Amino acid sequence: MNPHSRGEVTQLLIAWSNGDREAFAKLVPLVYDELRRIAASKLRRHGADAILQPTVLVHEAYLKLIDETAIEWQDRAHFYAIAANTIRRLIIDDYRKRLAEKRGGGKASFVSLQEGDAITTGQSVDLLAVHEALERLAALDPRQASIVEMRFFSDMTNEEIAAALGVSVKTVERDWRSAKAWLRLQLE
Amino acid sequence: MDERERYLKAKEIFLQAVETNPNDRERFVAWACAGDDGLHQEVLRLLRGDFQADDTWEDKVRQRIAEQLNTPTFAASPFPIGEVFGGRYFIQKMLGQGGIGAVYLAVDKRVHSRQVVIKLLLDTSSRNQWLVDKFKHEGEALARITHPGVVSVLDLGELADGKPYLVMEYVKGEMLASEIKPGGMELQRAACFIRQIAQALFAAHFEKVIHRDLKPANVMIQQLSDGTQQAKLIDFGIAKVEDPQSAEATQTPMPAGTPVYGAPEQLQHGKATRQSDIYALGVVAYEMLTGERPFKVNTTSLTWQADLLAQQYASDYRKPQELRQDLPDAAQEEILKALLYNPQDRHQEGFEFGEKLYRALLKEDQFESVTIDLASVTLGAAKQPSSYLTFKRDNEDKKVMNEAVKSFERLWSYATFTDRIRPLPPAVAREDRQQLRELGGKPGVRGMGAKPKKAEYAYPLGSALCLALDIGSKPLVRGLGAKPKSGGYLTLLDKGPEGKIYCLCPSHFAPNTRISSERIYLPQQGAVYPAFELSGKPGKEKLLAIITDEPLALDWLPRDAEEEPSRVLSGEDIEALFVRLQQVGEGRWTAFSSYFEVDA
Repeated sequence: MNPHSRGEVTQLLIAWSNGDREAFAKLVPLVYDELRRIAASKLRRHGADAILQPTVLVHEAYLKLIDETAIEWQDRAHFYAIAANTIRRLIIDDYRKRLAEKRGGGKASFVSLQEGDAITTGQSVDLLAVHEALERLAALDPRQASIVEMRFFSDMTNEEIAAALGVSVKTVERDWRSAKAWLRLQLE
Repeated sequence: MDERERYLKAKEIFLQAVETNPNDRERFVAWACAGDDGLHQEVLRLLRGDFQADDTWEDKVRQRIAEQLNTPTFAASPFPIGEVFGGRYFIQKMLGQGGIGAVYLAVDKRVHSRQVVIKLLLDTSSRNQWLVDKFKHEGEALARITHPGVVSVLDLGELADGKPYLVMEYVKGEMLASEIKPGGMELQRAACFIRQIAQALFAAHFEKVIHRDLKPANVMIQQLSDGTQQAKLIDFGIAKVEDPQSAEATQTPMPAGTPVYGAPEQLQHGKATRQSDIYALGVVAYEMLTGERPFKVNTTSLTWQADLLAQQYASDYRKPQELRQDLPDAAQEEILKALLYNPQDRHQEGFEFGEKLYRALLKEDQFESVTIDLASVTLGAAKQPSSYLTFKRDNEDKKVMNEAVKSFERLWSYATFTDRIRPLPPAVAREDRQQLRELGGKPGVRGMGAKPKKAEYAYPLGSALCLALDIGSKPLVRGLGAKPKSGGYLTLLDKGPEGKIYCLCPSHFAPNTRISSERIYLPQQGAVYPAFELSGKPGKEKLLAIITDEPLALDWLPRDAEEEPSRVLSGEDIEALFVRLQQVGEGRWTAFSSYFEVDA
């Protein structure tokens, strides 16, 4: 259960939106936990019927954590940007954990693991490669990395992303196009 | 410039380049890079990446992410005990867990809180993809079996991450094992159960499901509401859940339980066939009648497998009559035959063994009349000599055919009727005919002067027709919410004389099969499309075509044109087809029907 009050998380978000870096550091784990919790409970409740969609997860986490009345619309977009980043970490962390489990010969994991993605089908996407490429991209152009994240891990539209980043839609479109091209190359 | 600067510069040039006219692009890039080779390379790479990063790729990435997101390591346990699963099943407890799966007891809230058993295959790692497919495939096959002697499958599905599960009826009763007593069971009682099991095996085999682990612990004696008892097979084939030994195996896992019921070929190679099940039934029958097992083996010994095989090979067991004097000779004969080392020497159908043993054990006046699902037997009989089918038929044949036709009509009326199939018109353009000839089809229609009647064309009896599907420019098949495709799988059904239903051929036409604006041809994987002959009385003929965007995957459809191009379908087959289509969902299949006239 999340002991932190809505108010607290909202304050952190606002602070971060206003440039407070430390707030960001505190915010991420809270969002992480909440997203994880929501995903877990959905899966448990619905089993076969559950199809986790990033947008839904993010939205629910948002409702849960943030007091909408206290923030500006830009803050909301910021939240979604964080959430995208968080989902990406969630996924990669989990993926790595299971890879390690498998190699360590742990008890048979009960999840389908696309290890050696590229080898088995030659068509699957290697998540770790995506993740590492994104890290490299973030070093070259943080805004672009954020855009890719928001598109892939949060399913945000260009408009939403523009709002989150405080830039024009055209800028987002251009950044997205070149980031996509670069990313595609990295995954060869 | 450093890496970062170069990257940003390359990005800038790239963005301008994509706005430039493709013809001028190269020149532009060369100019913009002003001799900086590294920069030039980077821009070219970006352009290449841009080209490759199409929608399909984007979708794939998204899909992969979504897949990864839907993993139950997020959740605490593999399956929610004490919670409701799928909005319907309340999981009461785990009944057992093996290396690769688990079995749970649950309550179906949707059906007056009836108890059910849910089997879940847990380990779906890529190296066991074979296992996952097998589980699903056999689950489906099991679901097709309706027989009082086979546990019913109530539901099948998949968890979000692809783990398949099976929901089956929970059979209340005693295990057969607990009915076995020293000295053997009463002859009549044993005979009834053995026959029931044999019939159940036959039903399963008919649906191509091999049990693989028949033993008294896997047979429940169910108390029916009318006071009678029914032997029921549970825990089938791959729907089994314990599989410790076969992590790397590409063959059937050998259950870790008591192997003394397994046939030699199963022990040696892991290959199980119908005859292996019959062998197991032989062992079970032996035990039921004598109170002891024929083979005794100590599984803690390192060489137990070799020991057991040796015993089986040498038929090193006491003859049943030694253990039980009042066992009839004929009964012993049948048991010995079932236990022969070579599968080909044993009975070839479970049914045969059960029936003969039953008769051997009882006196004539004790026989019950046999009620067998004749439809399946009719089809089975088409494959095998029917010398052992010696019971009364009583107009069963006609009844079955009527059933088949009724189901077919039902299917027919369910279909969307349009006149989008038509046989090739008599006045076929010369090049079309040439193409057809190359495909091996005969466009041959004599009597070109035949005037089109109400149905568009008329053909003399005995002429061979090829079929052309007139799709115009519209797509044929729509996936659920997906983009419409203009390809799919085609299954053709024909109602022939005497009301028999024939499957003409399943074939596949893909989006990249030659499609002209008006029609497509139907090559069957390069083989000849069997032109079919018009037979029967003059009049209207009707053909039903079903197009699905996935193959119907019904085992009775011939796989190859070289095989039997047509096959008679029973009522059950049509029902199964019908059910399958309903499962697939209405948007995902369309059926066309067409009339054409047969001239005298």
